Formats: sequence, C-alpha cells, structure tokens
Amino acid sequence: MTPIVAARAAEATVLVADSDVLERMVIAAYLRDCGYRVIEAADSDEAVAILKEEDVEVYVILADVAIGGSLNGFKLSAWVREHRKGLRIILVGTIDDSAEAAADLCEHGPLMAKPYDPQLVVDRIKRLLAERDRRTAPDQTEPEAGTRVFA
Amino acid sequence: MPLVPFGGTAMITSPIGDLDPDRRSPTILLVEDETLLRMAVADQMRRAGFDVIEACNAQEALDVVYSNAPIAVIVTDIRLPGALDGTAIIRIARIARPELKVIIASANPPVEAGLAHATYAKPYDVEALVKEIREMIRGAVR
Repeated sequence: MTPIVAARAAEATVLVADSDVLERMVIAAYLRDCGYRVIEAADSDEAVAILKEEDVEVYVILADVAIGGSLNGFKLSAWVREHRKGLRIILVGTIDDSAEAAADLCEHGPLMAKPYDPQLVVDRIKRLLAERDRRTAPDQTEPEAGTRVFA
Repeated sequence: MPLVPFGGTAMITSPIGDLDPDRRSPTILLVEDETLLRMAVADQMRRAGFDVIEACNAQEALDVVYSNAPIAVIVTDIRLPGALDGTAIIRIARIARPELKVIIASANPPVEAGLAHATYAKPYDVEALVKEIREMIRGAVR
C-alpha cells in the first residue's frame, strides 16, 4: 500500500456488521491492516445503535445479508438509506436471489458473494470513498492529490 | 490472506497463545455486550498497541477460544445475553486454553476466589486495565 493510500484509509471508518464472529474478526483485522478504522457490530441492533451515535463517523458499512438482530441485511440497508443518507453500504451474502433483492434495496450498495476475497472488499471500499469524495468535492474539475489514487 | 468462508470456520494461521511481550501486538479477546462500551474499550486497547477480537456474548467468545486465534488474554463481562455468562466462558476457557489469562470486567463481579487473574468493577479505568494486561503478558513469559 502506498503512503497516500494508507494515509487516506486512516481517515475512513468502516462498520463491519456480521453475526459470525470468526468471519467478522478476519475481515476486521484485514481492514485494520489496510489502515482503516474498523467498528464491529455483532448484529443489526448493534449496528443501528452505533449509527445513531452522532459523534461516531462511519463512511462505509460492510454488512452480512443474513446478519442477526431485528433487521436483516436488506432491512438494515433500508434503515441506512432512510436515516443516514449518503452512507455507503456493501452487502455480502450467498444466495443469488437474495443478492438481486439486496441490490434493489441498496441503491448504491454493491453486493459481494461469499466467500469473498478481503482485498476485493478493500477495493470496493476505495471506490465508494472515491465516489463520495467526488460528490462532496467543492471543485469538480480537479481532484485532490490524495484522492486521485482511488479514481 | 485466506478467503472468508461462508458459515464456516475462519482460517487463522497465527500461532496459538503467543505471550511474547516483544511481539508487536498481543491479542486480547474482549467480551462485552454493551456495544458502545465495547467499541470504546477496544479502541483504547488498540491505541495501546494490542490487537483486539470483539465478542458480544459467550457463544462468540467460545467460538474464538476454540479457533486457533492467537489470544493472550480474555477480558470478559459476567452478565451476558444468552444461555452462558462470563463465568461459563472462564471455566470452559480454562479447560480449552489453560495458557490464557483472564480478567473480569463487570458491574457486579463474582466473589469466587481464583476465578480470574484480575477483576475490575465497572466503571473501570481502561488505562489501568491495559497496564495490568501488559504486566500479565510480561509475567507469563518470565
């Protein structure tokens, strides 16, 4: 990872929402090694509790479609769209039909099939952050040097 | 880096129970069901240089204990949701992974002598807890 990428990643917080502790700890550790700050949620209720905290900044959510709690991954996506507009969500799951449904519910959120390569998750997060940066950049003509690597 | 499998056991290749104090990041298993408290304590532990695996209940904690994740210390609450509480985690961990150090961090810690290596009553000072963990890890390899 280049210094620019590492520095940029350190500014971004990813919420990993997965009810399988062994899967969650692997992807969370990988993302931390890539320089991201990672917050973990063991079910959708924990995810919602974290997202309701105004002083906790989250940029991207990585959520399991089959996450436990009051909301499944699809409904969590819908909740995020309603309450945290602009927050990007990546759903991960295994069932193709569910993937289609998730894609409909999660208008910006791409869906990744399990088993997934953690590096692909990182690539996806980078793309989402780049999209966000493009949307929020005051001058659209020339991206800042630190964001160009994600374009 | 292994793939993250679906519904199966994550493949961690690190050695079990690495207690070397010179190792860059000893790993703590933090068991706490209060989401925001767990998040804050885990953050502080990571800033202190530890790797932290987070578990929200006893089942998650035992999944980690039975994996070959390189845990050095378990820090656990006692009152947890589900069929098992923190004391069950400790009793099972003692059999499965006798090398592990155990710290109780609970609002109402049990008085049973010898159940854990140290006990902290909530609200506790995380810096003091971190210091204790460092001492434990150093002591374990002397």
